[in-house]
Amino acid sequence: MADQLNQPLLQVSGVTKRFGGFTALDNIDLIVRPCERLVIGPNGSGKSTLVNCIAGTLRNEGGSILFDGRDLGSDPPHGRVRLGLARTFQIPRPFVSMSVLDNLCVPLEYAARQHIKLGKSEIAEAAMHLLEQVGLADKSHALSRGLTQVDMRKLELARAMAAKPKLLISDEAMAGLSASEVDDILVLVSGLQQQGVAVIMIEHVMRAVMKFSERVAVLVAGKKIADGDPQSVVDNDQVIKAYLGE
Amino acid sequence: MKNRTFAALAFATAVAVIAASRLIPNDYFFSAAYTVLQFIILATAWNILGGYTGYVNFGSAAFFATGAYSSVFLYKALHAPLVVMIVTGTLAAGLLGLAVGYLTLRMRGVFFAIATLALAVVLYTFVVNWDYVGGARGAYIIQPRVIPFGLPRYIHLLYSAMVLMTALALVIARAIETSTIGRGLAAIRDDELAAECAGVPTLRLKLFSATVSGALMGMAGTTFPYYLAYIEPSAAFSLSYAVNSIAMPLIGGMMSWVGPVIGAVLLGSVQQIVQVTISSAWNLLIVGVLLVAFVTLAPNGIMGWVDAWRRKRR
Amino acid sequence: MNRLTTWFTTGLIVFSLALVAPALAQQPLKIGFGMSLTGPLAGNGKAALIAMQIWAEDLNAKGGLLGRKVELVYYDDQTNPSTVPSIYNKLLDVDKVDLLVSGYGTNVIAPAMPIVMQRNMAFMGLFGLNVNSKFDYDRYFQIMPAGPEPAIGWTQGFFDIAMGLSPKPQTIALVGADAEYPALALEGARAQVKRTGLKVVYDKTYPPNTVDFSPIVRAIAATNADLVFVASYPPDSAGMVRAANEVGLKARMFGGGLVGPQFAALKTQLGPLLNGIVNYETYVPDVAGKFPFLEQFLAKYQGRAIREGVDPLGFYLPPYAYAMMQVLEQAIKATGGLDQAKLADYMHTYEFDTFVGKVRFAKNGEWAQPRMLTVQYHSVIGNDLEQWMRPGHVTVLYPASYATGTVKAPYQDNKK
Repeated sequence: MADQLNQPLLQVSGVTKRFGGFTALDNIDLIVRPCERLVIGPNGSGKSTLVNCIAGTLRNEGGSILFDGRDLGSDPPHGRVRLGLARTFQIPRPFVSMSVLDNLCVPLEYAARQHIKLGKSEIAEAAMHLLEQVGLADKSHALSRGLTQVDMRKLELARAMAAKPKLLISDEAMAGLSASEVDDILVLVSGLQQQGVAVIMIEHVMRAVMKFSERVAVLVAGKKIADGDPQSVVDNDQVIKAYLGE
Repeated sequence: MKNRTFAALAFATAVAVIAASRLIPNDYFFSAAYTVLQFIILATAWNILGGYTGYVNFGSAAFFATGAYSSVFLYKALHAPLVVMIVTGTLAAGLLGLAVGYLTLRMRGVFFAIATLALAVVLYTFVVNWDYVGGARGAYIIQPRVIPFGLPRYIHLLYSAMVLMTALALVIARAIETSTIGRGLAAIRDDELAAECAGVPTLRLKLFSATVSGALMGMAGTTFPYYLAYIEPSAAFSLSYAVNSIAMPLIGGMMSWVGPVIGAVLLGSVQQIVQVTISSAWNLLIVGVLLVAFVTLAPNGIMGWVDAWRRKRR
Repeated sequence: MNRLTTWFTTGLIVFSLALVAPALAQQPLKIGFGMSLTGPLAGNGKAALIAMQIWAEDLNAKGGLLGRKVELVYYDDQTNPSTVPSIYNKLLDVDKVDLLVSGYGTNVIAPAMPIVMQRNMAFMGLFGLNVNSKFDYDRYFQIMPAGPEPAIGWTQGFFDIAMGLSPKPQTIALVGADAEYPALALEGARAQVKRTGLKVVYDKTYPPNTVDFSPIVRAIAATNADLVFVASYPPDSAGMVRAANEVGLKARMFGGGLVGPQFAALKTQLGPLLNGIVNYETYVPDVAGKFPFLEQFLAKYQGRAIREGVDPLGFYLPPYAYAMMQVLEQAIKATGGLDQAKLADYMHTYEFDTFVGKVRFAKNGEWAQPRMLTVQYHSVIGNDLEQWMRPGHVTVLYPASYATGTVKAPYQDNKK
């Protein structure tokens, strides 16, 4: 039992990604355990590239990504979602022709159903339940394109949650939000851990970084320069250099 | 309404329409209606890939002609019965859709649209050089002397076949639209990347959509050689099929199965009326004007208007 | 019945008849058809329509047909075959026309056939190529003078004249577009080759959208064929003629089945490039004497054609469109009515006197005797139209009864 808990959920080993002559990721190693909370930030390049490689929307040239013990290889994104690996987008990408509720039905039907028993009639119910969790229940029949910024972020999160993932990667969900809105989102993301979902948050909002994280990893120029508990990372020389310059 | 109920209703309506048409004394109705029904099927078929999935097909004529020319081939080779022609032509066009999709749908964006443009040209050249079906010389398809089901004229049989095929196309379109697959296609249309990341197997669904769309467009062309009696490539590959199959869903609304029907009935009837009233040089002008008007004033078509009005009332 | 009642009843009957009779007499005799008024063949369609309208006016000026005014009911078929079934069904069922004729060309004649056949209508066709060979309809008639075997009739002149050359030619090159008419003409040419024992040194077709004909003509020139027979449509005809001049093609006779030089547009465009070419025509001013009244008609036609921007010469289709209506007119007058069976019978049996001469139909509805004129162009100077309106630029070589001269060979020495 203890073994299982310690078996990494996500194992990124030596991942490298180049765009032409530019190396975006250079030999990245990263481990995420079940139910763990990891923040990647606050500054540095390569964060989104790493998310895309893990999610499968980009192919890494070197290294391997193991999820739940399985080499993801060249699995397309929809395959990875079905295994339980969900992500949100930095700029929300709702399904604009659909209502808020229907937006959630898509991942419920196409991802969650692959590893959870969900009858056709239970889909709408499950979607409503998720909407209640994120506080969008009253807008369930509104068209998703009419939502406010923060509501769109919530929908983005709800949609990722609808896939019933084991690992959720949230890509800068707090960007541009007010302090109270940030708190709202933080509450939601913390709640995920209680449901048994590991979370990777890509964030550059310091408050979130410090309050939320158990562990922080820092990427600078495609290399990981720090990986540990928040306090030690803040004290890390290289991190300080990266932040404040020489 | 469940799909099963809709299907039953659709076919019951089709049978009723066919029965009622026995009372119509003139044949003009049948030939005009044949053309309009042809367009309903084409518009509905196009919309499955174009409206539901968001991939624009500029080469509808290629699929339509596949249906028509496979009928010509079967006529020359086997004098096959009409039903066999319809089924074969539909399958052939579906296979073409699958093949073209497999080659081009793995890339996102405009590649599919460009490929469909080229497809029509490639297929036209192929047919022009295929002597067995007449090539550029054309082929004669003679209507049988004895008409099945005791119908007085062959055009009545063609019309009845078209009514049934239209019902089938609508049933299929609605079934897709309201199913899980339909929601997946809509997700692809709205944001393919987000759909992929929501677990939608986008390539598989796109291929499915292209196959069904192509098949139904081919189905619309299978009885055409009998209607014309003499078919040659430029008739089968006519530009009006490519233009109308896009214009009709655009005008009627691309989000549901109702839109193409409205667009086809509206535009098709207008074209038929113009043909026998004012000079038909106006025909194309009218289509153009309607297209421009709708694209600028009502980009979601007539059904878009209806939906927006319904939403305001809520 | 007393006398008052008798007079009253008689008066009533006479009165009613007097009311009805003018109404009956005023019921126009409707002739329906589709015609290419837009689309690729619109130029010919509009020319034919003018001729048919002139016929209707001429006839109505003389009191109409069977005491009724003649009215043409027509729709634009857009040179698009898919419009034809609807048009002809509407003409019959909604407009309730009394008679049908066809539009111009095989593409729009064939789709009308099933409909006319189902209604047992007599049907006159305007320049369709061997359409009836597939339908075998005994009430179909064709006004094109190609004869009962159109492929043979179309090519007979060229080959007869060629074999009259001294010394006899030995070799021939056959070339044409990959399309309906050229394929048929080339079939005819091959049959003629068999008959005359010529040796074929080149026999190829080119795709319909070819624009560069120099390679083709060069290949033909390399064979040094004595005769070069071409079956082509207007754009290719122009291309072939130009290429022949560029390459300096040498042959004893060149031409045969070029569609295009019959029309004013190509006559003026190519001008002197046509000199020396042997081709087919349906009418030229040099044989005006053989076709009385045609000059009158052409003068009327040409005035209107210029106003409507259509072929200003009108030598090709208009006379035959008019003749087609004359055949119908005479058949209706002779049978005294509109019984389609009687009309068809009459048209199969008798000879007709028309602007294009005497017309008699074979069993399959084509002309009993072909009468395509084989001609040679000469003395064409510049690109003006006027010169073509007068005799002096076309020698008619065949048939003998219309010939105005003999062929001048070889082609390359007679390009003036």
